[in-house]
Formats: sequence, C-alpha cells, structure tokens
Amino acid sequence: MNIALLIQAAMRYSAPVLLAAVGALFCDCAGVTFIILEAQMLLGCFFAVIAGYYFQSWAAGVLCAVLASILLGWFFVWITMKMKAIELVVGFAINFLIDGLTIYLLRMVFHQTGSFVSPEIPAIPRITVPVLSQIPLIGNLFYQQTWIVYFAFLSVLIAAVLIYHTSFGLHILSSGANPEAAKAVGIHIGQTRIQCIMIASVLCGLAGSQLSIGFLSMFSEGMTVGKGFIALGALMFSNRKPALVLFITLLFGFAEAIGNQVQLSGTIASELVLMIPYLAVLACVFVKKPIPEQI
Amino acid sequence: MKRASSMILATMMAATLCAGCGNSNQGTAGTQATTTAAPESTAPKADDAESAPTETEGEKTKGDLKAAFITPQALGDGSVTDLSYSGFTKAAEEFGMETQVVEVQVGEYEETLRSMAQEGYGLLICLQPELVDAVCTVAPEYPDILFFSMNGEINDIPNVLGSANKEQEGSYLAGVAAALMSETGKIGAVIGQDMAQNNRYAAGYEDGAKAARPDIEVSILYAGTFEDPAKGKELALTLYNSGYDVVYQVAAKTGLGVFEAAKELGEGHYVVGCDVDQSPLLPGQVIGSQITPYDTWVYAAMKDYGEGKFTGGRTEAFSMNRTDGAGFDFDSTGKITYKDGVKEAVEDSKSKIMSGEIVPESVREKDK
Repeated sequence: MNIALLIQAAMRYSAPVLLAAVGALFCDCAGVTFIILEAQMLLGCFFAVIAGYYFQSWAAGVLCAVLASILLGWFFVWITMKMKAIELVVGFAINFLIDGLTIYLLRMVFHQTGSFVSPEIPAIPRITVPVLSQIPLIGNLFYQQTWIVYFAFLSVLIAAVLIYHTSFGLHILSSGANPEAAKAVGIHIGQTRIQCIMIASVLCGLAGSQLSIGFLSMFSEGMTVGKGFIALGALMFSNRKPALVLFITLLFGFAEAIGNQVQLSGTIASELVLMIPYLAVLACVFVKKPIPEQI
Repeated sequence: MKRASSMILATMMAATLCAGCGNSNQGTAGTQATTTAAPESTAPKADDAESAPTETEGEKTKGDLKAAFITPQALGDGSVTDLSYSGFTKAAEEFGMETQVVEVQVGEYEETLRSMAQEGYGLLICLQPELVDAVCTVAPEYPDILFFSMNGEINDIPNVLGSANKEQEGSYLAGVAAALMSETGKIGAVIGQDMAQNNRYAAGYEDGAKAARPDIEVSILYAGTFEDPAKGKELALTLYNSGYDVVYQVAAKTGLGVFEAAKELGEGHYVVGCDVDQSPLLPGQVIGSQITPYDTWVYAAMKDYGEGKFTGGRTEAFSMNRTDGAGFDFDSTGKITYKDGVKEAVEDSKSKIMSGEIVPESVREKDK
C-alpha cells in the first residue's frame, strides 16, 4: 500500500465533495435544505469546460462555472423564497433539469454526445507547496494539487470561524435554529439565507470546475456521479460541526483510494472491494445516527 | 406578478407533456465526436451500394423497409453505439429504409419494443445484453417482425437473430502487443464491470500477454461503472504509479479517464484502446486498439433484412473469420515506434486464431 499515493488520491476525491459539503453546511445552519448540490456541481463542470475551451483559459473556465452556479442559486432562491415552493421537491426537480440541460447544451454547442474531449481544453495547473511538501508523511498533502483542492481544505477552517465566531455566523445559526426569534430581534433571515445559498453556489461551482478541468480535462454526461449527494450524506452525519464534515469526507476519500489499491494487490474479490466506500457510509450510520431534520 | 409567474410556469409544465408526441429525431449519420477515428474505415466500401440485389425472393420493395435502432446507451459514446449506428445508417441509405432511433431508459425496454413493432418497423436492431430479456419477451408476440440482438445471445426464437462477439480474440492480440511493448514487464487493464462479457476482454488479454511473454505480470482492475472518468483516471494512476506501463481500457466513458492519466504522466505510459481505433485520442501513447466491427454486424443484419434473407433462431458468432480478421488495429497516427518483432508477432497470432490453432481464453482464471 503506497501511502503517498493514497493520501494524494484521497485528497483529489475529497476536495469537490468537501467544497459542496461546506456549502451545504452554511445552508443547513441557516435552515435551508440545499439539495441542488449535484446540479450545481454538474453545471459547474460543464461551464468550466465550455468557457475554458472558448477562452482558452482555465481561469475563465472557473469563473464561468462559479457564475453559472450562482445563477442557478438565484433561481433556487426565487422559486423557494418568492414562490414559496418546497425546497426538497424543487431541489430534486432541478437536479433532473440540470442533468438534461447539460446533455442538451453539449449537443447544441459542441455537437457532441456522451462526452467532450479535446486537447484544447485547458487544465488548472498543479501546485506543490515549496517547504511543506518536503515533510516526510504530511508532505503528501501539499504535493501537486490544484489551488481549488487546497482551498477546499481551507474552506473548512473559514466556515468554522465564520459560522461559530462571527456575528454573521450568529445570524446564520439563529435563522436556522429559531427563525421567529431571529426575526423578532431584527435579523433579516431572508437575506442571511440568500447569502448562505450564494456561498454554497460559489463553492459548488469551484467543486465542479475542479472535477472537469482540475482533475480531468474533459466533460462527460453525468460526470458528478452522485458526489453532491455524498456531500449531503457527510453533512447529515456531522451534526453541523465543520471538523466532522472534514473528517467524514476524508473518510470517504480514503475509502475510495484504499479500494483502488486493494484491487491492485488482488487479495480480495473486486465486488467486495467496490463496496468499501459504501461500507464506510454504513459504518458512519452505526457510529452516529443521522439526524433526520438536518435534511 | 406572483400569479402571472405561476401561470407561466404551469403552462410550461403542461407544454412539456406534449414533448413526447413529436417526431423523434432521426439522428445524424456517423458522429463528429473527437473520441473516435473514422468508423467508416472499418465499414464495407461504398462500391457495394451499387450492387443492391433486385430479384431475390421475398425482397421488400423500397417503400416497405422500416428499421428501428434501439439502444440503452446514448449515441455519442464515440465507441460501440456510434459504430453500430454507422452500420445501421449505411445500410438504411443503401436500401432506402425508413429509420427511427430510440435511446431507452431502464424499465422501458419492453414498451419501446412493442411500440416500435406496432408502428410497423420490420426490423428492430436492439443493442446490448441489457435488452435481451425484453427481446425474448416481446419477439414471440410479433412473429412477423424481425429482431436483431446486437451483443446478445438468443437462440430458438425464429424471428430473432442473436450475435456474439469474440472479444477475447482481439483482446488476445492486444495482450500480445502490450506484453511485447512493455518496458517494465507489468501491464494492466481497467475494466468496466466484473461480468462475463467484460471479462472476455480481460481473459483474452491475459492469455495473449502470457503467451507472448511468460514472465509478464498482468493486473486487472474493475471500475464498477461505465460513466465515471474520474474513477477511470484514479485506477489508471494507481496502475501507472505502481510500475505498470501499458493499460488496456475496456470501460467506455470511465475508460476516457485512462487516457487522461496517460496524458498527465506523459511518454512511456501507454494505453490500448477498445472497440474502435482510439489512437487519435492520444497520439504517441496508444499502441493499438482492440476492434469490434459492430458496424459490420449491424450492416449484415440490415442487409439480410433488405434482401429478404434474414434467418433468425440462432446466434451468429462474429469471430475474426466472419469479419475479415477485424480484431486489433495498430496505431494509426504514425507516432508509435514499434519494437522489432511486435507487429510480426501480432500478425502471426492473428493468423493462428483465424486458422483455429490458437483458441483464446474467454473465462478468467478466477472465474473457472
């Protein structure tokens, strides 16, 4: 088992999921059921590739991905807050919508179906942190990842500080815990919730662009394969603690990475190995029951 | 404002209900996907178009020929579905058939087949083993409609022609090429699902590799999905970083991740393509591709239908003999420098397979 490769692979897998989970954390604390993580990530994936291809710049790709996710976030705000629709229902509908929309746009814009691969799609450059990557074991955490991956881990810290140590955080927590009391005190819960949704949108846009032009340099229909829902799962087990969100997401990341290496060693049947990530989820259930009202 | 928006939204929702009532698209012939080199190169030449027969018994007149193409995997995969479709459209143009393309979802297989049969389509081309159960259920209900199950083995239903691939043959040649080109003596493969059909690729690959180089180390990894390029890249990286320098991809979209991994790691990391010539995807790093001429299969079935010679009730085994030796193509970009003897070894194995001297393994050791 190559520990260095394991750590790097776990980080790569965890980063997009972590970004989405942190975004969902903000929303959950504010009392918003933010179920469109998957859709926003997929939209981010697609627009990162489109913009990157047309502007020949990964930065343009990331920017467009974030903008597209923000637009979708606004749509969600409009439908759930202005139109007073039920978040859960709308969320699932949007997930289907965006899946179909990206497929449709892929055919319209690129005249491709299935996937879009081209040497002209720019990839986000990899960075190795100079001094820290030399440290024996931990150094692998700082080796050859994109800035989005590093930011993903940083975002957990930022979320912890913002939510639990600032007045903005207090507004968020009270909007979620007791909206009536918050309104009585003069906190604008609508505005707070919108801000959280926007934060989550930006993070999901980054997650999507990491997936399509950070790790890979292509777009494939449905390429998020449920990572948005895995992020929600991580959130459910975390009891709104950023540290737990990080831990559980990393757990899933390591489960995937270990699974790959175990397959290589050939000791266990592949069907059992491919179950490892799901066993990790089950393990979480046994350790801590997910709290229903959190989603 | 709120009422107006609600009305607009409600109208839009109602309008989408009518979406299914229009004419389905006919699809475009061939594909512009960058993930495939011209599939036309493996289809029969255009000259055959002139020689459409005019007097065979039971041949339908031009107006009568209607064929439907039903697939559980969407067009545009740059591989199996697109290749089959090119054979379909080629025959359709040649015989002037009216066509219909349906991309089915799980759970709708039987309804779709029934509705195509009821709409008068004389030949239903049904792709992939997923549709086999539906074909077996629906075909006996419509004994006058012909069914072709591409990649599905169906015998004993008179109006159904099954087909079986001998992917282990092309994979054997892939294994020979990979083993001889490998510098490290370790080669791998990333396979979509651990199931019988996919494992034929793996079994043939291992067999060919060991025959060419007995001390070769072969490692087969399963992705568990055909839709996840990130997973494919992770698996390929795991292989490449552990000293395996040639990786055979048998995983559709997941397999595209293998090319990404090879691209990232650069020279010296090779890929073997699957089903179509994939060397243009990564010039200089694809030592060859296993070829399954699905277009030839579909074309053959359509041609038989057009000429009134369709005979069902059996499964046609499209071995290399039946498809003029199509099984493995070398790099077509010219960027690969083959080591001495590699091409000869592959050609030699090919003629031995076609003559029957070598019978490549179709079941992996672990499944025996």
